[in-house]
Amino acid sequence: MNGRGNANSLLQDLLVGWYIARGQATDLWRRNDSRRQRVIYGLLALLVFPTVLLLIRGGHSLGVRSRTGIDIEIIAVTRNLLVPGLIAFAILGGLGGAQSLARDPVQSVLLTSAPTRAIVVGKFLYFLGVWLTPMGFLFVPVLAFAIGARSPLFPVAVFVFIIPVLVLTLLIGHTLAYLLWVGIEQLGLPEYARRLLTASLSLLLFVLALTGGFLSGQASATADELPTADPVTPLGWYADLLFVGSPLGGSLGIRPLFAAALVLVSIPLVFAVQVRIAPKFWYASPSRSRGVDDSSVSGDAPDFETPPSGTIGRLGGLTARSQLLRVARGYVTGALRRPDQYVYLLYYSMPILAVILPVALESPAALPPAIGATLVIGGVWVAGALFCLNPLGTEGAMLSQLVLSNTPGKTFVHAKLLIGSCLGLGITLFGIALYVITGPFVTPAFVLVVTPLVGGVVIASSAFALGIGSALPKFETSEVFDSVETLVPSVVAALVHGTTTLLLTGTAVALAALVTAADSPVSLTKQGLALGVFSLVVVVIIDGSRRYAVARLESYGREQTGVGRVFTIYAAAILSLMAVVLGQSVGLSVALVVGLDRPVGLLLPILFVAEYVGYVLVALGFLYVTRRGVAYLDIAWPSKRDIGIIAGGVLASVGVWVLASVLITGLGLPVADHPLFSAEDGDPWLLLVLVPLMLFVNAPVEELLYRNVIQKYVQEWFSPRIAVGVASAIFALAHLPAYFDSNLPSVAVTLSLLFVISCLWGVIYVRTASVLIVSVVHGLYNALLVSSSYIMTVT
Amino acid sequence: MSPRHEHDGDEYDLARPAIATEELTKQYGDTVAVSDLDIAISQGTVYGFLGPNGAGKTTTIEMLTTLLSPTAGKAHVMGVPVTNRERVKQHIGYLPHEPPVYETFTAREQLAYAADIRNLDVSTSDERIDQLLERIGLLDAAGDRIATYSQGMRRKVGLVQALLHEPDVAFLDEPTSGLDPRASRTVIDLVTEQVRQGTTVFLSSHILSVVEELADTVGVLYEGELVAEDSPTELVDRTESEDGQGTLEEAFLEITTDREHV
Repeated sequence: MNGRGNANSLLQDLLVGWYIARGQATDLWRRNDSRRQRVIYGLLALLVFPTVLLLIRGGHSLGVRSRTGIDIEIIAVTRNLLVPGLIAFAILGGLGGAQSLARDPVQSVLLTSAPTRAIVVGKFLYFLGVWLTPMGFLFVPVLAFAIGARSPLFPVAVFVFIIPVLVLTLLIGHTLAYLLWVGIEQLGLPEYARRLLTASLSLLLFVLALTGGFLSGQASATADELPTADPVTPLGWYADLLFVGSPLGGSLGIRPLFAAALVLVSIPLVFAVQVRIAPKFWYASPSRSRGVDDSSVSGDAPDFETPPSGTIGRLGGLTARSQLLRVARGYVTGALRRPDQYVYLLYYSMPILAVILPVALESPAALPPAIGATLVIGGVWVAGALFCLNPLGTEGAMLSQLVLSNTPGKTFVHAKLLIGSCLGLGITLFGIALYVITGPFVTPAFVLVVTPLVGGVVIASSAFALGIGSALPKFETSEVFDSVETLVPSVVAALVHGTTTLLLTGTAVALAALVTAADSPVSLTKQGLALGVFSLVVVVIIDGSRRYAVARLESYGREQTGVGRVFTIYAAAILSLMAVVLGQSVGLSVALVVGLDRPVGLLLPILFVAEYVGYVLVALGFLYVTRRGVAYLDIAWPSKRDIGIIAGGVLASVGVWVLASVLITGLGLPVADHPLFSAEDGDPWLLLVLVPLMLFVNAPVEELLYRNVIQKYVQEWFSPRIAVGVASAIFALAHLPAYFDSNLPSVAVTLSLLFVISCLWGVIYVRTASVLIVSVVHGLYNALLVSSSYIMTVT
Repeated sequence: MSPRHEHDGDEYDLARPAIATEELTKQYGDTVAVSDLDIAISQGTVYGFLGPNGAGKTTTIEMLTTLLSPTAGKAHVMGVPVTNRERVKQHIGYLPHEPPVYETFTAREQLAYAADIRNLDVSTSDERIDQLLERIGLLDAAGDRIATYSQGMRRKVGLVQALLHEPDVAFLDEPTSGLDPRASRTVIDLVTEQVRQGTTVFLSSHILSVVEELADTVGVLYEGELVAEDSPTELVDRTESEDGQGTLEEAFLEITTDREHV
C-alpha cells in the first residue's frame, strides 16, 4: 500500500502539503489551548473589540463618502505604495517562515517520508495560514467600506486579487531567506556567531526599510502631496485590480492585466526555485536535523552548585553566604555564556529605533537626549524582558529539578527580580542622566521626583514580567529572527508587559511633571494623593506579581489548588479591576454598535446592561480557569424563613442609609451623587426604567462577583470576617470610577457608606450561603433608593 | 496490498543488498564521525548495529535515511543512491531515538497523519493502524493525547509510524529503550513479523539481548569505524572466554576494550 502510484504528480504533492500544514496548524492551535490561555486571549479580544468597531465605522463612513467622490486619489497613491509595501511584507514574511521546519517536532519523519515538493508546499501553506489569519481582520473594514459604498463586487475583487500577490510576496520572502541562510551556513561559523549574524541582518533590513520609508515620506512631504504619478514598477498597476467594483473606479485595463499576468507567471517560477533551494537548507546542518538534544533547551541551565571562585574577593564571600546571590550569579553566568539566546531583545530595539532614526536623520543635534529618553523606556523593558518574561520556560529541563531542590522557589524568582531590576535600573538611570545633561533644561525638582518614580517602575516591570510570564509560560523552543533557536517568551506576554510598562513609565513622567510644575493646575492634596496612589499601584504590582510567580513555580507539576494566602487578596482585587475595565470595554463596544446618537432612554438601559456583561464574563472566566465550575455558585432558593432575613436585610440596609444620611447632614459632610441619579435631568421616567434593571441585572451580577466569587474565594484562605471586609473594600473601591468628577471628601464619605452596607450584605451571604437571597436584598434596596429618588424629583 | 519489490516497474534484483555502503564517511570539521564504512545487508534480514555512545551510529543512520549528506563514499538503499533523496524516501521507514510525534495529537491522529504525509489510501491505512495498535497493545490508549503517554508508549507509536507503510527497509534507533520486558517482547515480535513479510531492518541498540535475538548480522561500530561484523553466534564464538560460556555482551566489551588499548 505504498502510495507511490503517481508519486510525482503535482496534485498529490499539493494534497500532501495540505496534510502537512494541517498537522502543524492543529498542533499549534492545541498547544495554545489551555483554559487560562483561552480566557486571557478572550478577554484581550474583548478589550480590543472597540478598536475593531471603530475601524468598521471608519471604513463604512469612508465608503459612504466615496459615493459622492473623495478628493484623495486613492488608486494613484496605492499604485505607488503597493510595491514598497509588498517588499516590506516579503522581508517580514521571509524572516518568519524559512525555519518553520526546525520547530516541527515531527521533522525527521517528515523529511524521510514526504516528497520534498510536498514539504515545501506544506510549510508554505502553514505559514500562509498563520500570517493571513490575523490579516483577515483587516478584511472587516474593507467589507464595511463596501457596504458603505454599496459596491458588493469590491470585497470580492479585493479578496480574489490580493491573495495571489500576497502568495507571491511570501514565496519570494521565503526563497530569499532560504538563500540567505544557506549562504550563511556555507561560511562555517560557530553556532552562536551564525545566530548573532542572522539576527543583526534582520535588524539591518528593518533599519534600511525604516530609513527608506522615512526618507521617501519626507520627500513626498516636501512636495506637499502624496505620490500620484505613474508607478515606477509595472507591478504597481496591479493596484487597479484591487479597486474593481468600487466607486473609486478600479479597472481591468491592459496595464493592470499585464501586472496580474506577471504575478501569475512568477508564482510557479519562484516556487520551483524554492523547491530546489529548501532541501539544501533543511538537510545541510547536522544540529538542525537532530534537534532533540539541542543544547538550547537545557544548555543555559544555571550552575548553582559551583562554589564561587576566590578571585571575586569580597563579593565572592558575599555570594558564598547568600543563596539568593549565588542563584543570581548563576543566571548571569548562564546569560554571559550564551548571549545569543537573548537576541529576541532586538525586537525591543525596533520601536526605539523608530523614534531615534527620524531624529537622527532630521536633527542630529537632538540625538543624545533622544537616546537618553529612549534608554529610559529601554531600561524599563529590559528589566522584565531579559530574565523575567518566561520564568518557567527558560529553566528548560532544569525546571523539575529546581522544584524538587531544597532551595525555596522564591529564591529563584527573587534572583531573577534582582538581576532584572539591577540591569534595568542601570540603563534607565544612565538614560535619565544622558537626557538631563544633553537635553533641554529640566528642573532639579523634576529629576528628584522622576528618578525614584521611574526606578519603581523598573522594579515593577521586572516583577510584572515574572507574573505575566508565569501566567503564559512557553516551554517549546522556537525561532526569533529565525535561525535563532531559543526559548522566547510568549508574544502575548511580551506585548502585555511592553504596553503596561510603557503606560506606567508615561504615567510616572507625567506625574513628576505635574507635581513639579511651577503653576500646577491641581491642588496640593490631589498631587499628594496621585503620588500615593501611583506608588501604591507600583508596590502592589511588585508584590502581587512576585507572589504569583513564586506560587506558580512551587506548584509546577502539581494539581494547582491555590496561589497562596496573600495573593488571594491581590487576585480578588484583580478580578474586580478586570470586571470594571471589561465592563467599560463591552459598554463602549455596544455603544459603537448601537450608535451614540440614539435617545438616552434607549441608550442608558442598554449600556447599563452591557457593562454588567463584562462582570459576568469575569466571574464565569474565573470559575472556568480555576476549574471551580458552576458548582461553586450558591444558588439556594429562599425558604420561608429566608423571607424574614430578606425583609430584615432590606430594613437594615435602609436603616444604615438613613442613619448615614442623618449623620452626613448633621455633621455637614459632603456626599457624592451617583451619575445615575443626576445625569437624566428633566426626564425622571428614566429612573423608573432603572428599577427593574437594578432588581434583575445590577444586584444579581454584583452579588455574583463580589459575594459568590470574591468573598467566597478570599474565605478559602481567611476567616469569614476578613473575607467580608476585603470583599466590601474592593466593592466600594470598584465604585470609584462612578464618582470620578466629585471632590475628595465627598467620595470618601460615599465610599465609606458603600463599604458599611456591603459588609452587611456580606454577612447575610455568609449566614444564608445563598447568592440569591443577598441579591434580592441588594436589588430591593437599590430599587427603593431609585424609587425614592424618582418621587423626590417628581414632587 | 501489492506484492513488494514490484513498484511501477521499479523492479530490482532480489539478490541486490537492501543496504550497501562503500567507504561511507562523515566529517564535521576535523572530527571524523564515521570513517570508511563498508557494509552490505541482504534483503529481509536484520542488521544489528552496536556501539558505545558517540560511536557514530546515529550519524550512519541519518546518512542512510538521507537526513545527512555523506562527506565521502557511497551508500545505496534498495539499490538507490542516498543522494537520490526522493526515491530513497519511498523505500524507508525511520524511528529516530526520540519518536517524532506531535504531543497534542492522539496516537490514532498521529498515525493518520503519518499515513497522510505518505499519501496512503485512507481506508486501508485506517485498517492497518487499528491492527498495529492492537498488536502492540495501544488500542485502549489510542484516543488519548500523546502528551499523556509514557516514554515506552511514545516509542511504540514511533515504531508503528515507521512500519505503517510496510517499508522495504526500516531504520530503528533503540526501538526497545524505555520499554518493560513484556512491551519489549511485543515490539520484538512485531519486528520479527515484519521481517518475515520481507522488510529489512537496520537496528541500532544498546540492549544486547535484543540484538542477539533479532539480528542475523551484527556490526560493531567504535569511534566511527566498523571493528567487527559477524553473526551473533560467530561473534560470541570468536571472542569466547576460557569457560566457553560467552555472551554477546562479553564479546562487545572485549572488542571495544581491545580497541581502547590499541
